[in-house]
Amino acid sequence: MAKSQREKQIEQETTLGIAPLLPEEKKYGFLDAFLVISGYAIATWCYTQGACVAQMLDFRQLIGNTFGINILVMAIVSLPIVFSVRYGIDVWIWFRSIFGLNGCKILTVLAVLANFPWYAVCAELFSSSMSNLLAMGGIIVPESLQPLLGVGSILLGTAIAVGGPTAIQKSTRIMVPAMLGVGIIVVIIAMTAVPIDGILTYKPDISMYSGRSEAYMRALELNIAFAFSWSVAMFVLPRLCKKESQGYWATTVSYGVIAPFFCFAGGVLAIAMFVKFGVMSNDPTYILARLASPPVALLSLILVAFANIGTQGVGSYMNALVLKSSFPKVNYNVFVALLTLYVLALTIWNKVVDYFSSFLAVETYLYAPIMAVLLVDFFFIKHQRLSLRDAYFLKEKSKYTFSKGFNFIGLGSIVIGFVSAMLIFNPVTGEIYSPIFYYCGASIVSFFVGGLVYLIACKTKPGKKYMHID
Amino acid sequence: MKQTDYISEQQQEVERRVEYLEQNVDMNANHFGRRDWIAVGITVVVSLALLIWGFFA
Repeated sequence: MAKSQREKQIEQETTLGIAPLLPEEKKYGFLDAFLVISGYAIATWCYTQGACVAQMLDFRQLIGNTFGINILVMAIVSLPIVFSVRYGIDVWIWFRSIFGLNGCKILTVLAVLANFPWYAVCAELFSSSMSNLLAMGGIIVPESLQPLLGVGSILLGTAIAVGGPTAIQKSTRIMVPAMLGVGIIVVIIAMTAVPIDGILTYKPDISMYSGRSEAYMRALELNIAFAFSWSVAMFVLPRLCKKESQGYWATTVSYGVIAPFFCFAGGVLAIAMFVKFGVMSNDPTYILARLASPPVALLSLILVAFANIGTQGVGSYMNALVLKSSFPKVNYNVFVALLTLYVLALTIWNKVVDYFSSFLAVETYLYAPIMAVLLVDFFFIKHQRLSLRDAYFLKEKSKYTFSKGFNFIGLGSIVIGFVSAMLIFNPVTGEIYSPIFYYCGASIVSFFVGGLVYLIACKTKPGKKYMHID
Repeated sequence: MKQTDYISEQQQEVERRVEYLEQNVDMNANHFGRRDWIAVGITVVVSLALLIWGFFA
């Protein structure tokens, strides 16, 4: 049976996603990469993130916390992008040399499972923008039926993902301008809705915490999680850059400055809402509906709706491709269907935004040690060199086969990093187990513990033999 | 059968590209220069300062 055009395109995209790019295929300079990555980075969930941390911080703390940690984390964890540009490969190829091929398959599934609740946030934002739009027209949707509106965005997004690369390309042309439009409206409303004095003198209600430092560290933990949430997917675009420094700086500025700027705008929007109405909310669509004039509110809610459908489509497509790269025998449509069912279940559950900080923390406890292990491996173990023939298993016996496709040093380091964070802060109950949390948070500990365990293990004699280090 | 063909095609394409890179590109050349490292250092120090300022603000 002949393959359809769409099937061929998807197979080609997957191959290009896995195969190293050739120098003539690298077409991005700094500005191209910066614009494309920024377009992806300013998703509507940035406003939810900003509004969440604004409940714990005053205006100046919001600036220091949001920009300080996002820039710091991105400046450090983006460094391995150098290899991505040099070899023209995605990070998952390098991961084969750290975790083994089968270890990578497990991590791919875990990374997608940990990352996909963001798309349930998108669906909730869509349902919220629709409810607010209908309310502006005099139709009140009962709260119990609101998750069903989110289902609409998931199904439309899935239809785009099923349509393959052509549908994705068309939806991106709508999504990116829509997100930029929302961004501009949010920034203008945040800066003009109330007098600037009201925003500067805002004091958050932190009575449930032991003091300002605990509130600051809890917000810091959320911002660290936000910064790390980009990490395992952020190597795809920079490998198209012509120069290593272009890829590195475009990524660092996009995720470290531009995305946090829109988080900051979301935070100021939430503060403006509190100053004007005395109510704090982490729902940007609700805030836009209350703070903006009716025509602007109408426009922004429509843009939010379009942006979220597009984000859903692109997210399903990209994650399905990531899964297909690890499991090439499984049909692409099966992955799209599974991802749809997963995000549908999360949306109908309708608690993802309530447990926003919990899922963010769990995601970071996984991603932080993964990135630490990558940094250590890149700079101190492999000294910036990878054997492409071994990584692609082009030799009869690849040195990256390890124990039947699993590298227990790499995988063990992640587990130890994850557990070390859980011993400090429980992200589900919000309980702090160790005073270390007040000084550096839990994710930073998982980052350093994961990286240190990997470094020590690889420097021992049996470790060197296992890792095939000369 | 179809998926097997696809996997084999993919492997051949990867092999072709790796061979090309090995023969035509210096994969060990480092283009992330001294100036980039200085800029990274400054970025780290400034962001840390911003974070600490926020803590005491």
